[in-house]
Amino acid sequence: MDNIHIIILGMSLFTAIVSLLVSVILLAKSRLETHEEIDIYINDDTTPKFHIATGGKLLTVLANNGIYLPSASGSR
Amino acid sequence: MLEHYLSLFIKSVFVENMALSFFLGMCTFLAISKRLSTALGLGFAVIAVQTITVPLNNLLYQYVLKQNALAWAGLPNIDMTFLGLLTYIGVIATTVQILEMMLDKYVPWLYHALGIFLPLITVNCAILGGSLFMVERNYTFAESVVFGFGSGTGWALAIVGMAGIRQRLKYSDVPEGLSGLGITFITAGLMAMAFMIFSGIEL
Repeated sequence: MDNIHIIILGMSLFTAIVSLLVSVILLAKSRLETHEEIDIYINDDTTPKFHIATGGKLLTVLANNGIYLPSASGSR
Repeated sequence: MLEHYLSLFIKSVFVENMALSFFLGMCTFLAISKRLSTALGLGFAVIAVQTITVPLNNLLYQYVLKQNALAWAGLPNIDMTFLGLLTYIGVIATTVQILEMMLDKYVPWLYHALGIFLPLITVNCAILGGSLFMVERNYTFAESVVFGFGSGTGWALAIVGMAGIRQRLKYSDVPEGLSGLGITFITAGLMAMAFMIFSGIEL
């Protein structure tokens, strides 16, 4: 088998392995994470600023809603 | 046969201890060894990740990556070992993500106590080191299960030992310049020297 075939096979194998791993994560996520709706109040808000589903990270949710806060280590 | 596995286990826990013989996973080892309960939690997390990832990576290596491994798929003489590092890290990252979700759901206090160091198990060299040693030493599947469990246990034992000593150190009169990480490094060095006692043991 020549080099180009090895590269194509390598790419396909890697894609297959990564897809398999991602599906395992998604399956675990659907089983293990609770899916509830919550309200987020900011500072002295009397009404909730956002109404979102649980499971995401706070800084990601804020960024998705236009509030950008600097963070290290991907908002953990 | 059982003797062989027992000797491999003892060897991976004491003689070839990941933390104190190879100095792998030092960042987490030093950062999370302040409190015994957290160290114990992280130790169990590392044992779980290591026991799962080393055998999984062994299966990937045996049936997909190594020379001639794809013969079962009608593709003989193909060597995919260059994909090794990427796939091992992928498997480790997936396992850690799932472990993270499980801890968040079932043991939330430990999830919060471990904080950033839980996802960072992914890049803990002791975990990747386990998989790479498994490949280098050409372990079978059963050996990789024992080695994964043993090396994880060895690392957990080291961090729990270190946390115990550090908790005791709070009551000792450490010179000001050495307090904190200074004395911890010295303790880690002394522990490593103590573990060298096992290096002469032939099992």
